[in-house]
Amino acid sequence: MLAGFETPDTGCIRVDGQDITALPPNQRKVNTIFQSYALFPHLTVRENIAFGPRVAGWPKARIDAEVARMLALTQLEDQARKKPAQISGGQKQRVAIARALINKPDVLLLDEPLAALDLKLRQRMLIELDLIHDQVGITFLYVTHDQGEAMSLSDRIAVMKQGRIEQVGSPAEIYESPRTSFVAAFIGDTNFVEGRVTEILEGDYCRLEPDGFPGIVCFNDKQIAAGRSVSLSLRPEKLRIWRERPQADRLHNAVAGRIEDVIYLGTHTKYWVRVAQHRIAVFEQHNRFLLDETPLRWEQDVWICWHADDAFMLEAYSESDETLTDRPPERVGEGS
Amino acid sequence: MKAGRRGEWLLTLPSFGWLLVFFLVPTLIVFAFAFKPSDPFGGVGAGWTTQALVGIADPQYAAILWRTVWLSLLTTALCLVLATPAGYAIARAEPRARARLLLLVIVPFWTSFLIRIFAWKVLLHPEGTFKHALVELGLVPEQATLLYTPGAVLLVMVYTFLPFAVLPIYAAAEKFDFQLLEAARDLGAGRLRAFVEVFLPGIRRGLLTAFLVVFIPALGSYVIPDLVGGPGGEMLGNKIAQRVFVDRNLPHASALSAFLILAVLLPLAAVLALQAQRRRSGVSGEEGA
Repeated sequence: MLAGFETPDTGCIRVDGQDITALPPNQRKVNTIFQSYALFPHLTVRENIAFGPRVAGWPKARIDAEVARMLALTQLEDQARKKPAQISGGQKQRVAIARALINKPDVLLLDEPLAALDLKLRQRMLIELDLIHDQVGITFLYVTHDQGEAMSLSDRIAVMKQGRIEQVGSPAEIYESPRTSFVAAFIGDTNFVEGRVTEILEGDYCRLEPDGFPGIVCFNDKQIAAGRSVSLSLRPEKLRIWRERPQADRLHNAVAGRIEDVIYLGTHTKYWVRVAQHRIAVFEQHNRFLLDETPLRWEQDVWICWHADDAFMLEAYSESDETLTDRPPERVGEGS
Repeated sequence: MKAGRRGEWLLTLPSFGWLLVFFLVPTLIVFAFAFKPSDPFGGVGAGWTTQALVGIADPQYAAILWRTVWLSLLTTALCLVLATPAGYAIARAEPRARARLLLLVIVPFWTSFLIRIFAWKVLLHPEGTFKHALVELGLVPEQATLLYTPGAVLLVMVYTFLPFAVLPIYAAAEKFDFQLLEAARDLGAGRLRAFVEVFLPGIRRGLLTAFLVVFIPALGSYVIPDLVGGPGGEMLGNKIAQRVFVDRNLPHASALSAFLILAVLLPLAAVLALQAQRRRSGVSGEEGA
């Protein structure tokens, strides 16, 4: 819609305060990086980059100078005379970027630009995109399903669900204080526990009675009244595992459970801990893994602990969000 | 790998054999007959002579050759102009609609070619309903002759060859990545400019095929000008037929045929050679860079 290939049912699109809803694609100062790059196969790299300026009727000297500048920016000088079929995926990506940026658009629209690349190249291109963004200073609108890409590249993220924006904010805002359970589940891993607010405590805290859990203290920045049902979101990396019950503290929560699964992931270990009917994921960083005492084992009884400020409450989450938390099956064939 | 190659050769052998025996050899015989004297019974005499070759230098052929070339070129041009949007539209249609549209392109082949030309004769006939309708609509004057003119030949040739142009252009358009048009529009090109600068180069192979499958048969047209052309719409094919059936002079007809074949083949070979050379120099330029 921003590029102009589809028309919105309602509302309007404004760039720099100017309504562009009715403009055809070729009259918008928006350029697009297509998922498949859509480079013109019959033109060389240089001719591809020069397409926009040529159509716009720039003088030849200016086209040549700008194309040379773009080739330098994207490190493509050596490929300038090749056809798109003769260059690699990452190079095609850079041609697509140069071809769009040369027109100096108000907004550069990137439609899942890295989806066609393999993991290593994707990580590399992500950094290159960021560097180019820093150099040209044009607004990038980056569409992606990959939350990692979104987090690492963005100044502001808009999380969308079925065409509606759920939340707009910086990566940290989106991650640390998601407004809806969809956002919490979509960005990063999280555990959801249903519960009811039972008591408002002093200093913006409240007591919570999730089913199967003992009473829990949670930061209540949304001022949710007593008696309301909520979902408690517990990020796995904010939880700690203890062998014995830790020292009681007003703002520290501790819940007893039993380890059901241990997945060693190198940078950290993921534990699935059974607490009543819930399976809670916990990430444990191991700094001195080999020097440590014996590692935690399967079927060991443990305590999960977290600070009241490290969890957040959301309005009760809906069925459709369940899939997003990507629970692993508890039995073979479950859910398939 | 080697066995696969051999299998390929064995599989293509029958078609090559067929072409050799029923296409290449007869063509060479036609070339050879051009150097033979004619005999009074309509056959070929003994010995060799250039009499037939001298015979085709007759100035009457110049006008007919000129008409043959411009009618064929115009037919080809009109076919390409009509077939390109058609191929584009079919390729962009929904799969179900696409199958139906393709069927519509092929349907005329279910009726004999000759019957379809006779149908045009009826339509264009001075007393025909089509002619009357045109007069009623004020599109042509009462006295206009539609049949037996070069225009009639052009009309029926375009009608006949259009499907042969639509099919290769559709085949090329169907493989075309239409997102490239979106990309061109995104980069500021208008619809027409995107079509001309991105779509047409994208289907250039289809266009070349369409050009060849229309232009070459059009040059050799015989039935169409014979039935709807009249004396003013004759083409070289009619002259060749007259030399065979009326004059019973096979060498003369052979010389004309050979001339037509060379007139088509030589420019074509030149174009292909030029393209190959340009491709080679393009590649070497690539290595030099």
